[in-house]
Amino acid sequence: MEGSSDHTRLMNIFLGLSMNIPKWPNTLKQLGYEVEIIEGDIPEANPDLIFTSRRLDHSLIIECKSKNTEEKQINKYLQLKFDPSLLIKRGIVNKVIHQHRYMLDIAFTSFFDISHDKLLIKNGIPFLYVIKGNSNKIKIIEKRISDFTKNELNRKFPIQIPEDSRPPYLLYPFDPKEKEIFVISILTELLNFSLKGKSTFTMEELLKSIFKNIWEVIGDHKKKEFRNIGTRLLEKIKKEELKPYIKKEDNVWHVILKKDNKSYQAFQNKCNVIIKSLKEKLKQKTLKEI
Amino acid sequence: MKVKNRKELFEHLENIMARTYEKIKEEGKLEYEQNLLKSFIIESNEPNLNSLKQSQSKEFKVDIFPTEDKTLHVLNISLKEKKKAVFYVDSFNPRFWIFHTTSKSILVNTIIKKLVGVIGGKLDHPWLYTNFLDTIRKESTQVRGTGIQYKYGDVFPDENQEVEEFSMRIWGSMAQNIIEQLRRSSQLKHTLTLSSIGIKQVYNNDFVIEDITYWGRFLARGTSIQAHLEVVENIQKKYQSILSQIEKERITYKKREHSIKIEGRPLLITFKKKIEDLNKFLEVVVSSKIPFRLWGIKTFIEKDFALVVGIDLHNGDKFSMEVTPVWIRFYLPEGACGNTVIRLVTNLQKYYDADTKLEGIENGRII
Repeated sequence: MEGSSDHTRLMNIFLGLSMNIPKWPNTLKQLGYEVEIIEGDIPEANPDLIFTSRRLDHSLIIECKSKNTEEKQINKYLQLKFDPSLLIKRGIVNKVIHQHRYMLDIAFTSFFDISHDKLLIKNGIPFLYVIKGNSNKIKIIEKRISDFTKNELNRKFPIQIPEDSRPPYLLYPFDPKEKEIFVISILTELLNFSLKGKSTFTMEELLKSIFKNIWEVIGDHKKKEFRNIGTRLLEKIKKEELKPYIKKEDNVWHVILKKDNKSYQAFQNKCNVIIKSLKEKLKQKTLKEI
Repeated sequence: MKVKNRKELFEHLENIMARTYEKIKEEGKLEYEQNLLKSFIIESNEPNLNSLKQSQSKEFKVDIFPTEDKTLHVLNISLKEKKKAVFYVDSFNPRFWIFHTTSKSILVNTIIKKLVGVIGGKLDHPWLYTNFLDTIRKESTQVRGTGIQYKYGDVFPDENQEVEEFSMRIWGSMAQNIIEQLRRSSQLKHTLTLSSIGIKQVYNNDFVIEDITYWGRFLARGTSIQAHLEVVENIQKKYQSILSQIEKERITYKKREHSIKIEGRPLLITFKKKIEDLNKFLEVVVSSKIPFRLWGIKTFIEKDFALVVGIDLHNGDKFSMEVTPVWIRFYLPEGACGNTVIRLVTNLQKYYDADTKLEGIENGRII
């Protein structure tokens, strides 16, 4: 998938490891880890994921990275590692039984090999390298640079990914950078509105319907990004591919779609054209970046 | 016939069951205008029967008459060609309505399919997949017949299949042995999908003979309406329990103070027959057309790995899938109807691979 965000992919990969997802290893789940925080927003840091195992009295913070690490961010995490009880006292981590034995590890993960990163090496932070094989398929997750404080966790690495396994992509697809999925979600929502007889809507209503109760948790900055991408998309397609289907009057959008199979198929064909063209653009962009 | 309550209705239906049974037993056929009792289970996401008035279209018209019993209604449904059928609708269980009728088979089959076919009508058939029918067959007092129907060619455009269509009706109790023998054939093993069963069920000293199709139609004759009602209710309860298992796995995102919590997990659909062309396969499955009735947009991550986000046209519920040539991870969101995935799996068994299975992580194999 072009233009997708490594960050969201990594989030899905590690969330999947802590749940029972068919055709994906449940390595963290086996040690009793459950997800405690997804994209947390706490005063000390903004961890992507926090997993806690009651059995091990241990939390694992995962930071999903593309290539670069930041000293400021690492220092924040080191403070948390030095005094992990902060997470318990703040009510962020709730699954610990023996609070006096509670320990915390931080790991960075990426699709790129950042095992030479000076900051990670200097601070002894484990790096979980997600290695892809042929045709982009993930084949192994290796632990590099340093060990975790829990041997049970160390022994689980490397994680070999079976040939017929694929990571989940749709477990947590909520990132404005995940453009293709976001655009597909918007187009699907237009049909959903039409089918349910809701022929007029605002951008806010559209986004709330896509994200349901997650919308309330998404930060203002991300919300703005979603609104902008959504509005730009609808403005563009109302003039082009979806001209007969959507229009805008006084900031209110209208969807006009007959409730029959033929109309839905015609609409589907137009949606496929939009996705194809988006893929092409994202591919060009990626090539330019390379 | 006008009925005031269940007692009157069931007396009336039992008379018809007994008369038709005797006639077939003595003469091997029914008289002109004499019809068997037929019951249909309809899965509903709409609690109010009056919603049928709203979903009526140019193609059919619905008149609803109440009885003394608030969960029993008489429905006159007419097609645009003025052909009319009378249904006695039991909505005691709001999720599964039972339509009883003694009108003509062809007419009522058409009407039921039109009712269920309304886009966004929130009604669906129960989809009695192969191992479900097999269990019912094994639990019955006597197995009378087994229907097998595989119709790949009706749905998938590829003509290079070894077997495009396979239909067979086996009368008698040796059906399972015959099916097991056929299963040894590499050409036929993907085609052995049960589409109907014939059973005899004894109730006290009475009995009912039922022909049950995979889309929830019961043709009944015999001496006891209670035996018939028991067969229908038993299937409805078993089906509802499967539906609940599936709906427990729905993905729910819960808001917490600092974050989001994910509950539920995707379901897994597996095939033994590998999908050769994933793009063509998905074009059929999410084309909006019967039998799947799913609309979706797909995108490929790898040549053999695709994502689909879509909508079930029966009820407007959203769904998403991650698809490979041998398995599908199916995500059912919060509040979505589990019948979407049972319809998909049952019809994949009938039109693609009889060995299609559904698994949940917590409950193991579901279908």
